[in-house]
Amino acid sequence: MRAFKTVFLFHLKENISSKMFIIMTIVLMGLVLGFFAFTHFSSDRGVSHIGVANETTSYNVPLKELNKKHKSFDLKAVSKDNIKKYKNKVKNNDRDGLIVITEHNGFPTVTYYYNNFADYEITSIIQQVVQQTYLQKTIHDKHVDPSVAKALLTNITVQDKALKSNDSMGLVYFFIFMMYMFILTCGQVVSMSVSSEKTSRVMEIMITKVRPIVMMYGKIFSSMSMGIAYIASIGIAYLIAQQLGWTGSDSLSIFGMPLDLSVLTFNLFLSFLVYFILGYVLFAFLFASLSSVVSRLEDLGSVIFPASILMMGAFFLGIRAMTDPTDKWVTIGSYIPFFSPVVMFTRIVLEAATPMEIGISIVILLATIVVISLLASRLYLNGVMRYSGKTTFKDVWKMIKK
Amino acid sequence: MSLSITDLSKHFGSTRAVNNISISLPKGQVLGLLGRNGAGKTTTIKMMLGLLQPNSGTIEWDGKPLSKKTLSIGYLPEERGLYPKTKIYQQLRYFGTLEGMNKSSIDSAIDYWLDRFQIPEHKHKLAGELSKGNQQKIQIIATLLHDPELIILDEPFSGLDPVNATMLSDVIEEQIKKGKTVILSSHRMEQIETFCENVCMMKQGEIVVSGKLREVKENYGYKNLHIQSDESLTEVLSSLGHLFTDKHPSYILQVSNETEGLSILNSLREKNVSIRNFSLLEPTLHEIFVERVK
Repeated sequence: MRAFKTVFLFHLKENISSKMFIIMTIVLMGLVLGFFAFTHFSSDRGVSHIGVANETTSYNVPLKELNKKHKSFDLKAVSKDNIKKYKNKVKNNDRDGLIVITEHNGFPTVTYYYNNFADYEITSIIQQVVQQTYLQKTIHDKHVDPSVAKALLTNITVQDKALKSNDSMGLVYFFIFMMYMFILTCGQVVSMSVSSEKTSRVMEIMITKVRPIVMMYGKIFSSMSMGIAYIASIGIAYLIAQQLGWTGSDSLSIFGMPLDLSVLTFNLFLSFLVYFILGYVLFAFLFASLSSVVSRLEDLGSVIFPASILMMGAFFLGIRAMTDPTDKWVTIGSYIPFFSPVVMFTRIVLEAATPMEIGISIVILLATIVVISLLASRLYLNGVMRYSGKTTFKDVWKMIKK
Repeated sequence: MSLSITDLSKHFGSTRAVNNISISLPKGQVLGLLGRNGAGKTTTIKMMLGLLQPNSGTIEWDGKPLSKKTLSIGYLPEERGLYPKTKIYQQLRYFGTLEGMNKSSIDSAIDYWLDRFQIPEHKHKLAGELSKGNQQKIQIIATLLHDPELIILDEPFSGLDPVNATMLSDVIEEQIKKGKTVILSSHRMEQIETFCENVCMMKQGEIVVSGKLREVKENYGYKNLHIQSDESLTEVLSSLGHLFTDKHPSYILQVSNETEGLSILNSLREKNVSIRNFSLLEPTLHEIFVERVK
């Protein structure tokens, strides 16, 4: 235990004092704070300035009323003489758009001028107003019976009631990405540590001072602590943003996916931590043991490639789980130990996993960790003392069987 | 007898890396472990350190299985390495802690050894910033830091310039005087002859020569008769029917004993050959090594 503690503390100190750790922590915190700051401050300035030139006399658009009702845009009347001037303003990005309402043969036309990106909310509202006026005008002109007219003008209500909210989609994506990134990053830190210790031949000194297995566990857990520190840094950045009042925006989203922070509970965070730790430990055993057979740093990539591919597979299955958490392959994947940390966690966030399913996946994961740790220990023990040219997977299998 | 290796074997598949060897080494003495590359020296050392499990045989210290738990061992491997991006005192502290030392004794030992090797200014430098020779000194310090009872040095002089090699020789002398048991694996025969009372030569996993260095030389089977003469002795020595090395004015003949040497000398006198110098020497370790392990 004393040897483990010594190895653990040595590598922990090396990891957290490395430039990579410091830079990545600053970048992560910066990204989280930057995201919330951008959302907070840009939402105050996001008012679109739209000009409305009404060339008709029949189709009156209540600009004041609309401005009062919708805060995201500011409609301003533009006279017929100023249309050209206002178009230039839009072209030069001084204004966001111009709506021109014209009438031909008693039929209204709405033309929307914009630069690069259209605001379809505005066109939809203007269209509704003009459409209503056109209907009323037609009913009046054609002398339609008032009761029929009333029936025709009655809006059909569409009630939008999602049985399952997709507001947590952005959060799921964020967590999946974090899980993938941290497991891969921390696993690769273990890989680099093992292989550089071996290629620099410090291993020759170390194996006489401490049992190789203790060394492996020390490295794995010190790197895991580094991963937890990354997660903590994100949490701290979030809390800072919360204290600054930047997290209250209703329109938070990641890549267009809604980000509902109200689902971010302690239990969710805890389950992320549990699956991160279990997933990381499983992959770290693979990374550490496979790296131990490498005699040259340039061979490291090809040796750990299978483990990286497994992790990528977990990530893509997690993405699939986001859109369909009850899919057959997603359900199967959530029990496969190399995929379950990402896939089962996704199902948990989307409320598509029962406590029984979660329990079974954790038990399978733990059992696999035990088996893999035994195999990894044998491979590591034989691998660190082996110096030869290229290592094939046949050699790896021989070392496990030794 | 302290170190006792009995009938030790290690096979890797069909390859016999070490085949049924036995070595005895009294406490406080020095053993020179010799052999060509692949002779089985490192495999033997790794079995002593517990890094490899023997297929058969025992390794004991004072009658008990040799283990790092019962005996403090210092090992300088042939392949050297340090953490290049870690400061010298940090990695020496790390190595010392792993050997069970406390912080204050580690720090005083670090200061002592850095002074002893005349490199105290490198204490706070990264290992990667040091020259190869100075890195080697740090590795030797890492070997001796915890004051081990059994010191195993694999090619300790490689990479050292003559000044540093002399410094290391002095350090090894000190350790021997302190009663430490030392195993020295080297290809440099002069160093083995300087330090080792005992030698063990290995070839293809087996011991071909073993015992006290003096006895090995004395009983090796021949002696070297060195004759110096201003005349050319090529014809005369050929007529005597002895094989010899002609390095005029020196001639070296292998003789089985002193009597044979004196007989040759008398024969030369009878032929009125003028001899400037005459000596009968034991074979060098280099000669024995070349003959027995080639």
